[in-house]
Amino acid sequence: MAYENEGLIAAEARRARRAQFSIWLMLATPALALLIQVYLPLFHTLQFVARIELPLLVTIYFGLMRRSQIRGLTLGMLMGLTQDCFARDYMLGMNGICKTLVGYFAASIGMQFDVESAVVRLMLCSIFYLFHQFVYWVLQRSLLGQAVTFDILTELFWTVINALLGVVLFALLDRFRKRE
Amino acid sequence: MESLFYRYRNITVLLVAICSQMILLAWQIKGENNVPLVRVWAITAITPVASAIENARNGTTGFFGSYFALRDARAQARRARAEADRLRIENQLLRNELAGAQRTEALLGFQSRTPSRMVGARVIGTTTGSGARSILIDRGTSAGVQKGMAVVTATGIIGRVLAVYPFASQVMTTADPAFAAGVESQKSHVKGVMRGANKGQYKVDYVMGGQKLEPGEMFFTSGEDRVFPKGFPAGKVLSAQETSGFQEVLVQPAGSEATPEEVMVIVDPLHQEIPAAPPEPDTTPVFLAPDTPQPIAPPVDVSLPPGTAPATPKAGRGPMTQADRLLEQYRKIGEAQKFTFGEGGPGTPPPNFNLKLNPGATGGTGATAAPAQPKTGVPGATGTAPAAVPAPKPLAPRPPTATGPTGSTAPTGTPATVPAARSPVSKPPGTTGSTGTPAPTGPAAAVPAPKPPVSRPPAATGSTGATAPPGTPGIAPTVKPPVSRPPAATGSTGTNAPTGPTISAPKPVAPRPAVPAPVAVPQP
Repeated sequence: MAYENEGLIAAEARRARRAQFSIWLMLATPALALLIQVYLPLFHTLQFVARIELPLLVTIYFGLMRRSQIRGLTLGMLMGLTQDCFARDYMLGMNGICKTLVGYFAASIGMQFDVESAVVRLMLCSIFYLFHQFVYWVLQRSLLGQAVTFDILTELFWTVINALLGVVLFALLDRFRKRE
Repeated sequence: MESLFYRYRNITVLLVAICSQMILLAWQIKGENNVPLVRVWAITAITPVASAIENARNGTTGFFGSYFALRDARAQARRARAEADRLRIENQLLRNELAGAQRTEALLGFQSRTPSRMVGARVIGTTTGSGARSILIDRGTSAGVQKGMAVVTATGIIGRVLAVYPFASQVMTTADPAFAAGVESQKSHVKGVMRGANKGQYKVDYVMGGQKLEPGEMFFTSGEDRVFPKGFPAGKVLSAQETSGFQEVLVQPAGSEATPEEVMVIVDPLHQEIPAAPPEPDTTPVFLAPDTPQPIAPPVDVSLPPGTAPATPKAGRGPMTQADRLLEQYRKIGEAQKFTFGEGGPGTPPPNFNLKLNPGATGGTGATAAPAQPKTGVPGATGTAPAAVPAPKPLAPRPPTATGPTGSTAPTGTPATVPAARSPVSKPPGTTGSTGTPAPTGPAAAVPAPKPPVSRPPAATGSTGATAPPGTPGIAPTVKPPVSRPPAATGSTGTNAPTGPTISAPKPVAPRPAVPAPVAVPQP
């Protein structure tokens, strides 16, 4: 009973340490991430940017920092649906389902663990990226019936890249965070 | 129930979100991926931002592109400037070399034209002192240069060697006040001594007064100073003024170009002739040559009064044209009536163009008209007429009834008797007149008097052939007044010749070549 009380106290304390962001940052950061994700791959030399999931990283960051599952899944759903809107070859809802799940689980993990460490952030970014890509692949095969393969090596490579970029991005967004 | 929902609200919201999106997917799959409205909204929302970013990208790219282009252009301009500077210097060097080559060529030509043996030298410095003006040349005793030798260029004398060193020499130039050279003018061979510059003026001394010198005349070395051989240009006369028995002659030295770079040292002088003065340009104005006199006689003006020269050639011009004669006649008519042509308004009475001018007024011309008549295509009368032809006199009028034979003329062979000139006869228009002025067929002394031009109707022209027998002594016909006859009245002409005095009327003969005039022998 004592352990439970201590755990509740710790959970309540972490919840009390919920990060606060300005409304402009909450709006501008997803918009900028979506813009980069959509616009830069239009150039032939910058097509590799399409493999960098900035909307996913933003969803992970705000899910971890806000520590609210509903806000996390809502943000993920909106980011995913907007990303689907700009990509003609995407079915509306594919990225929405994936990012909704990621936002939910990111907020759940942020409520249980301390995510201020860069190593933890690196691991979380890697796991969530792989999870996002896997769920997307599953949805492609199960719902759309597309015979696509899951190239694990390529996905691992881009997992590392996105994880490193996520660590940097998180550190950058931490500068705009307000603490209560 | 409410607590249960609150307890599982997170997972409930997740399930709702997932389910709704799966329904959306299913609807899309069923509707063959046709959800244009949502895409239109999304693209419409993102297009302005994308356009702004694209414009910014283009501007940035253009800015940097322009920057790099400008930087390249600046570098190119710098390189072009450096290239232009290098080419300018190279051009100047080439010009200097060309000028040196031209000077050398001129000196070689000068050396080949000059009989004296010369050594070329280069001016290596000037030693302009307070009073002396001299130059240094790179030839000395090693090249045969000795003190006192003359130094010249192709344009004239430069000076003489003042001091000699092994490999250089000092030359006193003509600008030195102590310089002197014997000179001689080109045209009048006036001799004198050319002095160096004194107060900026070069003079030729010892020129006696009265000797003719013209500005621009050249002075050449006379060779009398035993320094400069004869025949080298020394200077050009600027002015010459008489001053107390001598002339003050200011000259401009011939070799006075600014610091010559190459000179010639005369090591073996030989005299040469002073070149002849170039012919002066002919300053007389040149006019067009006068018209060539026409050999054919001008047509006789039937309206001219007797004694008036039918054609008064102007000085230096050929015979007048018909228009000129008419103009002259009208001018005289106007002068006689004090009428000025070109004045007076409309309605002003014109002058009387039928006015017969006084022959005496033009007697001079009438007198000259007689000798001029042989020019009118009558070769047979040439050379004999002028001696026995008196001036025509105005005739007294006679009664109209005294219609004498029109063909009565002076008898041939009567040298003393000269028919008087007849008054003009009014003639109908269209008459041919006496165009074919006949030559006397008799001896040359019997020259018919100059008859006033008489024009007759064509029917009356036959009487001109009715002449008296030649050889009969003639008397002067009576003077007849001007007669106006109708054309019909001329029928009697030519019928009274036998009764008349023995005169020979001029016969219209065809022009024939000039023959020597026979000796005038009076017939009994």
